[in-house]
Amino acid sequence: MKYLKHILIVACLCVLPSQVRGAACCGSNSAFPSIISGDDKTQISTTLTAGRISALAQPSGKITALSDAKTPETFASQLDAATLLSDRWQIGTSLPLRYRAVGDTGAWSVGDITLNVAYEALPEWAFSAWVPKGFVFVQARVPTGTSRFESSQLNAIDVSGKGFWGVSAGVLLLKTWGSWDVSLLGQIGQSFAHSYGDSRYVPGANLSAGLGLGVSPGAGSFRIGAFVGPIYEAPISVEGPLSFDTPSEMGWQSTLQLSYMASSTLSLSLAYADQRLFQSVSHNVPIGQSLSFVLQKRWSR
Amino acid sequence: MRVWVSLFLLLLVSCADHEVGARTEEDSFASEEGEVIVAGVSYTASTKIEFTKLGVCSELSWQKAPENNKEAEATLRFTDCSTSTPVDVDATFPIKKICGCDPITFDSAKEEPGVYKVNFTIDSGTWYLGVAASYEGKKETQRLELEVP
Repeated sequence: MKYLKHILIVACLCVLPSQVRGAACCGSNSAFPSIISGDDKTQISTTLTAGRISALAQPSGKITALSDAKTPETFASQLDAATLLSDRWQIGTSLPLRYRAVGDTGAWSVGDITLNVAYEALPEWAFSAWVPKGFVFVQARVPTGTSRFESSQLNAIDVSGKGFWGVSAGVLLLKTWGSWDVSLLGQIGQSFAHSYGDSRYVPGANLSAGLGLGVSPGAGSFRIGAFVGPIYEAPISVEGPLSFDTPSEMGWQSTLQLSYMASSTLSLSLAYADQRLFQSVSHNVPIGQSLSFVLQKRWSR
Repeated sequence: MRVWVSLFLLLLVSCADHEVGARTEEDSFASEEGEVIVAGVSYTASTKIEFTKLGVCSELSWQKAPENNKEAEATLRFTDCSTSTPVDVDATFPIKKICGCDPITFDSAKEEPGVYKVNFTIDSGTWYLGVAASYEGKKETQRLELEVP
């Protein structure tokens, strides 16, 4: 029973980083998919996030702190859902909604919706000290959010999406040893060109990865975890009256999280994300901090 | 176990305690030859742009320098490079932020033959201001880089 508890609480790990990651940044939302990693049939998570951007990592790598008057604040909510199609196949989706404000001016906007299909390539059917549980997944991003290329409000407070259709593929590996757990995630994606106004925007590839580490003290109902990983986006070619390539973007997510399993089908999590941790190796991204609350409901097989 | 958890948390908290670097205000200046203009409140100088294909020169002078979220105003005068007499060049002014974003507002008007007035509002960061000129059937685009504090 204790072992089952631990597996369930580790299942929260797959949900947290995705929502927390997108919270502070302006245009991006969850890049990581909603995946059921425990022994459940269906799971639904709702996330509430409050975040602020305190600085900008310039394309040169220089960090520019923002004054209070320029500091964007974000309040976001996100609904994630996933369900099994068969023993090893599952589908999931993320529906983000965001409120962004600078000073007294704010705006609500829908973010980019993502859909994903995952396959449990490495099921844990037999005990192994080293072989992890593994998923491969494909994710599609629908540009339902307002992109920075079509923003019409001061300080781009209405920006909530990338502005491109996109697909990505990735791998998620999970392993537990007693009270400890480790997760490894890698994802590569490509967005598709789109025209806004008199210019055509041709995006490049994007890469992201993450390493998670957690512990459930005494194999109890609490889990303390951390997740770190880089996110890279290749330059976008702008073609039109003024043609140039935007600089690439390199950011890092770093999240500290506390999860509590209230019952075998309900868990709560609190997460703090701070992009200052790796700001010295970031460029062309906002540097923010956020606090998230996640409520996850699961239905057993 | 408690020791390990404490060490783990201590490591994370100490790492997260890094301070964001202080903002440094750069002094305003104008580059006489280069394309980069670091705009600022006290910026008043002008910039010369040569269109070699067209054989014309231009001078961009600022009435209001670009500042974060404030209206900027500039005048561009096209002249013959050798005689400095006004030349009636048709021009448009594409402008984009380095992220590919558009300005908050932008407007340009031909005041008289070869003289244009541009008004725009942009926020802080790096912007590309293009000058797409047409003269005697030839076209040429030059680009200025504006660093707005």
